[in-house]
Amino acid sequence: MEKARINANQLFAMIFLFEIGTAIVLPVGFASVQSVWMAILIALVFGIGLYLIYDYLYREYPNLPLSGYIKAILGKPIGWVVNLSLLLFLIHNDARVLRETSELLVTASYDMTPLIVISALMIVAVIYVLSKGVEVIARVAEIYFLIFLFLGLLGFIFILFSNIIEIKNLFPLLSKGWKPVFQAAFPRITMFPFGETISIATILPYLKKSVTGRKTGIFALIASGLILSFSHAIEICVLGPDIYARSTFPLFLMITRVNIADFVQRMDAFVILALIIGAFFKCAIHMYAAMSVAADMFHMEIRKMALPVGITILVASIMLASNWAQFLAMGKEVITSILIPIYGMYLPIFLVIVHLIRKRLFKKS
Amino acid sequence: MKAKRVMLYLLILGIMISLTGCWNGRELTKLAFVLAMGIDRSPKTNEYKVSFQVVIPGSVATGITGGGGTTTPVVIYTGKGNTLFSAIRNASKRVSRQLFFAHLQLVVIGEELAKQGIQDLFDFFERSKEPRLTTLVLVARGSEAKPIISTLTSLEKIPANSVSGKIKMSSTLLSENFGIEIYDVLRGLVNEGEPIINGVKLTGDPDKGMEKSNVEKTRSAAEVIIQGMAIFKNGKLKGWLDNGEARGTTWILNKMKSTIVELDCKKKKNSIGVEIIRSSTELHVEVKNGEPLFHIHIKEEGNLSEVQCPIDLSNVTVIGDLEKDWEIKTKSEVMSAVKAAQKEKSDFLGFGDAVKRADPKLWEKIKTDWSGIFATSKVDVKVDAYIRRAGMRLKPYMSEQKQKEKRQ
Repeated sequence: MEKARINANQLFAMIFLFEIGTAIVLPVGFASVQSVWMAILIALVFGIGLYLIYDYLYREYPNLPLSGYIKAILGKPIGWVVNLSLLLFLIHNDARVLRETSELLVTASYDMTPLIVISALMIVAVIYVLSKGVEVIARVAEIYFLIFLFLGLLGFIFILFSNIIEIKNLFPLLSKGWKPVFQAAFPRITMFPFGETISIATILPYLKKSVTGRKTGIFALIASGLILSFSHAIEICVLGPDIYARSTFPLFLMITRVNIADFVQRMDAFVILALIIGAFFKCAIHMYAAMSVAADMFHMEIRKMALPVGITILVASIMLASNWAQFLAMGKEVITSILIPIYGMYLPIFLVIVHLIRKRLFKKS
Repeated sequence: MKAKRVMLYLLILGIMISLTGCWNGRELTKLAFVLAMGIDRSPKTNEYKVSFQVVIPGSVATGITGGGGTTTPVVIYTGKGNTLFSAIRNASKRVSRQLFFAHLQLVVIGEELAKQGIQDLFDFFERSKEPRLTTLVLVARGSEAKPIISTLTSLEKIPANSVSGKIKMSSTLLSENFGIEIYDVLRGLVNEGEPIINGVKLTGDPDKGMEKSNVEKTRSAAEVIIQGMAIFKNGKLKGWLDNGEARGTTWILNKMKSTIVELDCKKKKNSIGVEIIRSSTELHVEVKNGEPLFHIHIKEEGNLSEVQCPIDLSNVTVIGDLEKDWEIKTKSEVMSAVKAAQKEKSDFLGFGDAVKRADPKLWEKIKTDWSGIFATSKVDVKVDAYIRRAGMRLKPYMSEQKQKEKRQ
């Protein structure tokens, strides 16, 4: 733990940008193309449920980060092992965020730039910010929250006035019933992006007033969930379900259709900016979580972990997969169906159960 | 210590200056801006023959001297290849700059190629990041694509601008066509229906059209005109819609912006012009005994724009009669479009998608023999027409009385 304090607004901005991050640019639709916006709303409910678990643990141990209460609940030796695997997971997950962002940037605009150059530039910025501590990233989030909203609003206005939103593309809703919607909502969308909120658990203890954590977090999740749902619905309206489902980067494709009076067009830079801002915070918060766990395990100062963890993430992001198809397949089969459920859902639930049992035993003695 | 710090700043400054810019910076002067692309298939080798209309920057730049160089404003390059992309790369033997597609405005498909099928043509436009989904698509009517994009035009220096301007104007003023972009064609190909693409025709002498002299006369030797819309079946060109059929299609697809409808005045045929100022169409699907029944409901508003016969336009019943005539006329054009579609069994009217939206379960049952069902399905057209105004005069200058007197 470093000596730092963040306020509720900053936490809100961080959670918001973290959730929106890369989820807004990727096609999260999966099986339920036209009903993806409903699937996101359903997933939001599960996401809030998960957050309440993290919040409960935080309230029970208000001064300990994630790794701290893992050790407190499971005991030092087991806690250390769990922390180690958690660290690996966080690094792996962050490497995926970095790889994803770089791949999209290369696909959409920097076609001849080597992947590692883009990844390195991003991670250097993240390492720099995080080496200044959690307060700095919180303040940056506060500023960029406004910029992000401004970008989003302007982009939406452009699309609205281009007259390319066709509501009928959203129909037939539920053409195959509720089943595929629920399947997409749980576990897929619940895990990505909502399950990843576990990283926020390492930031919660810096909150000035611990009571504000629950309300702020839930509000941030609702705000980001509604915006995600809305923007994916608009993407389908603009692109049609088929192109939406086939594209690697639907948000970008949507903005290329903007054309107001043959004058306002080619607004691609908006989406690239939004992607870089969102990915920056997602990458930074995951990395901070990894740094926090690592620092706790090896008894180091958190800020000094920025460079080693950052470099590890960079190298891991390059080694993750040899092509985009493999990357996506891993995401589908391993990450959202095994890894994030384990660390984002089962581990916290297990912690709560063990904690409650210990509490009861402790009381009796 | 101070010297060290100064050195550090200088170093940072030096690195910053040398590191800015792009990885693969492409200067403006090294790019050839492609504004129109013509795609044909060469019959012998079965390769794609792709022509590019490249703008010559010096000759279109307008300066104090009034601009215009001695060269033509554009130049045409051609490349061949088994895929579009290889044709583009093969063209580099002929072009001294890199072909750049971000400003591509038109894609013209040769008629022969369109007949062979356009299903596989559009992957390049989707996958590559340079061309946009908003690029207009056309089918060359009765010719290859190359002569169409090679013809010089007056009024607009760049032929691609001329063609896109014509599409825009004719779709807003006449509505016998509407802007069809790569996006629309893709949607047509992947959806339950078929695409529909604007036709473009070259009249006059194609060889003279390539010469600069084509724009040095008041009447051009060769002209490029927008004519008709191409209909497809399984991605292959099957026929053309013209005039009423084309306008009916515009109506059904709710793309009607403005047009002139001619009505009869007593015995004088087509002597009253109504200008549409607003029109909207709704397509409803009703399922009867497991078969879809289509209801097309059109609401249109218009003004009288020309009356070449003596009628009293201040009379409400006269206007009412005209409205009724107009409804009948609209209905017949819409039905002619439906019949044209049903004849070719080509559902470019989006009926299949409408069924899918309205009753997905029914759609699952009938989708395999949809083209047969479509060809025989019943369509019911309802039109509400409103004539709002009669322009700057009420009665025409020739009243019935006066006309009689003068004739005697």
